[in-house]
Amino acid sequence: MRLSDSEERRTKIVINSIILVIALYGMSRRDYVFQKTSIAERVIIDLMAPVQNAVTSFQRGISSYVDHYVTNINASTENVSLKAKIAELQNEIFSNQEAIKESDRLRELIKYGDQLERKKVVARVVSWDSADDYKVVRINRGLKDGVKLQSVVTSAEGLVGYVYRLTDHFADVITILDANNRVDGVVERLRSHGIVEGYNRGRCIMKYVNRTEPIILNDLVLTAGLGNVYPKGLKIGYISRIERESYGITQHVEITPLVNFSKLEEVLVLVYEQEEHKQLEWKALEEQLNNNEVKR
Amino acid sequence: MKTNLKDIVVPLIKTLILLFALEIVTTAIFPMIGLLNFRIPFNILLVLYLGLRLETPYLAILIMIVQYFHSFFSIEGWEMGTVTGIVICVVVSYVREMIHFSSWGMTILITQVFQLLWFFVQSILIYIQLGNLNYIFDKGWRFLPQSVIIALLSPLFFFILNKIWNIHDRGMLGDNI
Repeated sequence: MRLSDSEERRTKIVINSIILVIALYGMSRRDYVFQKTSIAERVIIDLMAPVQNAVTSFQRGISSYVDHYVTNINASTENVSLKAKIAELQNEIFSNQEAIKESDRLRELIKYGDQLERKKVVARVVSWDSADDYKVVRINRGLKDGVKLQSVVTSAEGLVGYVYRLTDHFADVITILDANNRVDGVVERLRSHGIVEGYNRGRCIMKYVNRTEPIILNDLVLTAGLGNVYPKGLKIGYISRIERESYGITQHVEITPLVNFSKLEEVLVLVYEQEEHKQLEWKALEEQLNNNEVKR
Repeated sequence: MKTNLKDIVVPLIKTLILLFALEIVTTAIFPMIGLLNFRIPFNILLVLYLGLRLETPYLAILIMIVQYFHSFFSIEGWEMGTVTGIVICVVVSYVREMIHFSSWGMTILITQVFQLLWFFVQSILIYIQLGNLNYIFDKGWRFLPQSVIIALLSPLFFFILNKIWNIHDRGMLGDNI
């Protein structure tokens, strides 16, 4: 199909305008609380995530090899055969140690989750979000494993985040480092409330803490249990920076999460069994509110 | 100008495969080596290439498709990148006669300039959404080194993409070569 110059220009303007309108509409409708996946998203994510998983595992294997062998390659030549034998044994020991460490971590994780009355699903981190503006991890458990949207995700150290996007076999978890994730937090020592949000440089910020609250550095912050997502009493982090101005009604409080996100490998997904029922209640409430607004 | 769909579909599929490969590297390898706050946004590079080097009335659709496939790897979504990409295409259409890719240096320079424009447009969109400048400043500090790396990589990727889209290396924008 050949178009004349004027036709091309006209087509281009029309297409640009249509796509712009669709994209702007999409932007305005985008929900940063959770996202329902389309069929295409499910298929592509389920196809691509195993590749990401394989690449991650391969990369871990290479790193482990480099860390444990290549950097120690300057052994004397007379010990080559001996070294090879030792390396073989070390490899075996290393594999065993890794397995022990992993089982320890998993045991710790399950023990941690014992206190919480929710269904627990152990998952492994497969990859991170491709845009560094968003602190989101992808885990290898999805709908088929019983994970639900907005299920809480923790590690043995503390709170990780909640499930934002879900496919049959994988889930995207929006971590507490992300500015779109808001957790109702409470300072353990004083029971002072605030909203914990992702901030920068791997820290969170605790907003709306009254400036008269005598919080101090290293105070532990827990989930308050308010809102509809996080259960009460999960460890978030400790206070690592406080700024009190001579004016204003709140103070600037920064929190360092207990979870070391750079070394996050296994996580525990806490699925609330009655979540659907609860969601229906929320939906009914929202509809009621909308109806009231329409009537007005 | 590419108006035949058959000239577009096959290169587009190849571009998407390249995007998938780059996204997998970015999402799986970079965080594992400790780069949690630093990831190279290859989708920007691909959208810039399409905007800068492709002359077709369906450009907006191509940008939307690339961004849509990027959204499988990021919760960022496809919308903001699509709006930014289209705005950049409109700007490119005005400065078309002034731009050429005669050397690697020029490619790097042009890519850097248009990345700054990308950041500027996205900042406006983010400001409209959040009404907060702090996030934009924070993003800006991360964006600067990323944009330099993207610009330095651009000659290599433009070379590969030229082969995929069958565009001559030194061709001016929109030339039928």
